Amino acid sequence: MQIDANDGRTLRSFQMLEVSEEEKKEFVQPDSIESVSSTQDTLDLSTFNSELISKKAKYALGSLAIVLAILFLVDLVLSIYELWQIHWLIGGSLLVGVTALSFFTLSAVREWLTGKNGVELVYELQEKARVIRERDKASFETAELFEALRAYYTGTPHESAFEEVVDGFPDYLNDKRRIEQFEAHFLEPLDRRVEAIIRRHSYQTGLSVAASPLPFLDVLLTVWRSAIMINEIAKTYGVKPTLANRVRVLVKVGRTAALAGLSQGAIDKLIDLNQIPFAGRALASTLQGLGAGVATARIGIYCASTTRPICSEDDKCFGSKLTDSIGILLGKKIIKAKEDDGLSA
Amino acid sequence: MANLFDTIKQTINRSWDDRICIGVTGLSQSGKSTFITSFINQIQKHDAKNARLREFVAATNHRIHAVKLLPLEDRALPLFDYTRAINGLSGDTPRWPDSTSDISGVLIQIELKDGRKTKKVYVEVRDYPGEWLVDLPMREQSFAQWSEFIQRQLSEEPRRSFASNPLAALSAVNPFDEYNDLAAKKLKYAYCEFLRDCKAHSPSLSLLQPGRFLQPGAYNGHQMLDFYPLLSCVGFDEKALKRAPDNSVYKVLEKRYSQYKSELIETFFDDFISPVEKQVVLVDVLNVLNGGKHYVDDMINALDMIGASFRYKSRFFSSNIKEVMYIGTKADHVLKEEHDHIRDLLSDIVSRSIENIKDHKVAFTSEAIAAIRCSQEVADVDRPINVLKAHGDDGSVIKYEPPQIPDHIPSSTREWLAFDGWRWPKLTPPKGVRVARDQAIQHIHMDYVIQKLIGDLCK
Repeated sequence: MQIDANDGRTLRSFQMLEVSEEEKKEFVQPDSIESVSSTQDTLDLSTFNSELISKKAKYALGSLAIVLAILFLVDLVLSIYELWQIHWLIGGSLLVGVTALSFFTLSAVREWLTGKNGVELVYELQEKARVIRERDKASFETAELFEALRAYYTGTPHESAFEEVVDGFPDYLNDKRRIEQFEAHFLEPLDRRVEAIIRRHSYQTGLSVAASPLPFLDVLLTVWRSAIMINEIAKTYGVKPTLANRVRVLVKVGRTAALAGLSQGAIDKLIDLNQIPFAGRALASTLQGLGAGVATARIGIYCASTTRPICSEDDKCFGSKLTDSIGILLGKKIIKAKEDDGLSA
Repeated sequence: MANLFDTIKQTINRSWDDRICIGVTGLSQSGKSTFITSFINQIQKHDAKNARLREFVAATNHRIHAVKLLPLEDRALPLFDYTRAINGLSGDTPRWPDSTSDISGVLIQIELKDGRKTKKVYVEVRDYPGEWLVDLPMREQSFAQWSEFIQRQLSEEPRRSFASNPLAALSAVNPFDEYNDLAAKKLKYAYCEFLRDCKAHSPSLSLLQPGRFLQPGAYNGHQMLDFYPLLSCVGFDEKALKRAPDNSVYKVLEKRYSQYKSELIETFFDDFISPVEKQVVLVDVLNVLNGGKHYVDDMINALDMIGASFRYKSRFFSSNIKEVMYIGTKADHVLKEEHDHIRDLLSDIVSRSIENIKDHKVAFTSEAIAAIRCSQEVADVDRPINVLKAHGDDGSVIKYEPPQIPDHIPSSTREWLAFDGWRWPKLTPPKGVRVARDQAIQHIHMDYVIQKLIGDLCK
């Protein structure tokens, strides 16, 4: 097989081919094709496994704790030594047993710490999709990306919707179009849910802060609502809600937000508003509420960017400007449909 | 009176209803009727089990409640014969829809679910032969100028090599001679024969004027069409020609040419094209590649002239076209990895035309499609490549390895050589389309086109 040096396509020239007897059988167009619906209203996230620690890790940790307790009781080291003195085989066996058990326990803890469907995996998926999008020429190599996505969504409430969308891709779609259709039919309904989550929590936070009489309570309220919102957004996009993943998402969002100067900006804004000499208490509280609402929306957008498995733009999933946060509170979509002009392709 | 009533009714409906008017045209053999048939079928059978309309949001959101085909309010405009086309496709020996030979139209009424209510939107589709569009530049040309243009065409390749080229016979006519009806008809016939050869040639030429000589529509045999290019005008001063006697060849042909322009070209555009808001231009880029550089150049010139119609203005009317969609057809003749190349090649071909009308606030898109998909991509038995399997011209199963399609107009002899010495096989429509079984026709990227054309309307 020759490869054209210009664009990587397989070099071909026109030729009629022999048709075998078996191939002479007429083909007809299919009677049915799995149709797809872009609505995911039936997606039930309440069934999403919410256990904080995996069963494996739980049992392993429990076993280790029991063994350690027993060993501590019988003074493990001493015992082994004493047994070794009696006969090396007895002491050695105990040593091997304890070592093996420790090894299994550590690997289970490690697995729990690294976690599945975490933000690192989301980042890998985003990177894979970005590389495909940046290709100049049409390619048909999304199999790896969609396999990774399949593994990501297996065992989640999204699984059946994912399979329905991916299995129904027409065979002629190239990678870019596949990703576009995946976004349109699978991710966009999730985006709408995420928008609603961000709006709801931002309004609630804004109202709570505006009504709260104590400044330190404002921060607590914002942090509390934001933590719940982050968890809901992550779950919506398919990040498994384990304790480890929650911590990771929080850290990642916090880091991104801090880098953007959001936290300081928001705090400064609240402090400044308190210090406006002529503003009445009611007006100041209202403005504080508005500030807190916008800040929560901004955290929500960062969280959505971090947890959406495919970004619709090159580097970032959603706009990070202050106007984007205000826009979402006013009912704007966080992702607008992309217009692809063939002539510019 | 009836026409005036129709026009008023149509104008009122247009301003009252949620409605869009789509013009469908294309160069010869580009698949206009097939496109409209598939367009209607996809919308009508949006909920069929084998429908594939993922890009058409109204269908994926299950918003379409009912679809009905209606005739246009304009009684002079024949109804596009969808039933005949779909019956032909669904027969035991499927056949392609008849090619466009005259104007026709259809009004698609789509009932959309809007919360608990429903709302009706209308899609007006107007079909007309592409041959008529290339007549437009004739408006700006005098008879002598047009004759000079045709003289240049006939003297250059690829037309020069056609056996039926009437260059010698047409050049021998003296413009000042007395007009003889019999001789004129013979020469006109010879010129028509030449145009028909150019069209029938595989690949066919695109820039063939006057278009009504090939597709006369309702004016078949009309005296207005009894003229031919007077090649011997070249070299004469136009003032001298104007002083020719009224019964001279020049004066008689010039009068008919002027009548052709005012009564056919101007009237057609004012009446038929003026309501068009989105224009689809279908182009068979694959076929023309076979012909080589001259054929591609000819197509570029023709598309350039078609593009000119989108900035068309007359005393009473200026073009209403806001969006033009250039569509490369027959994408099912190549492997899927070549679809983007067809689109890019088409973009290259129409780039000059677009450049000329950039300032006229018209949006452009391009796409590669197969309105009716009639091939299957299968793995080759001996090599690790995919090939195409389809039904050939005689209905038997054929298999072929399609070539690579360049994403730009070939520039070197080496690139052109890849298309020399073979022809695209003629494929027949797929078997298994059954109207009674409520089936949708299989396609490539028609859903994208439908969304682009009526997605906004169906929001």
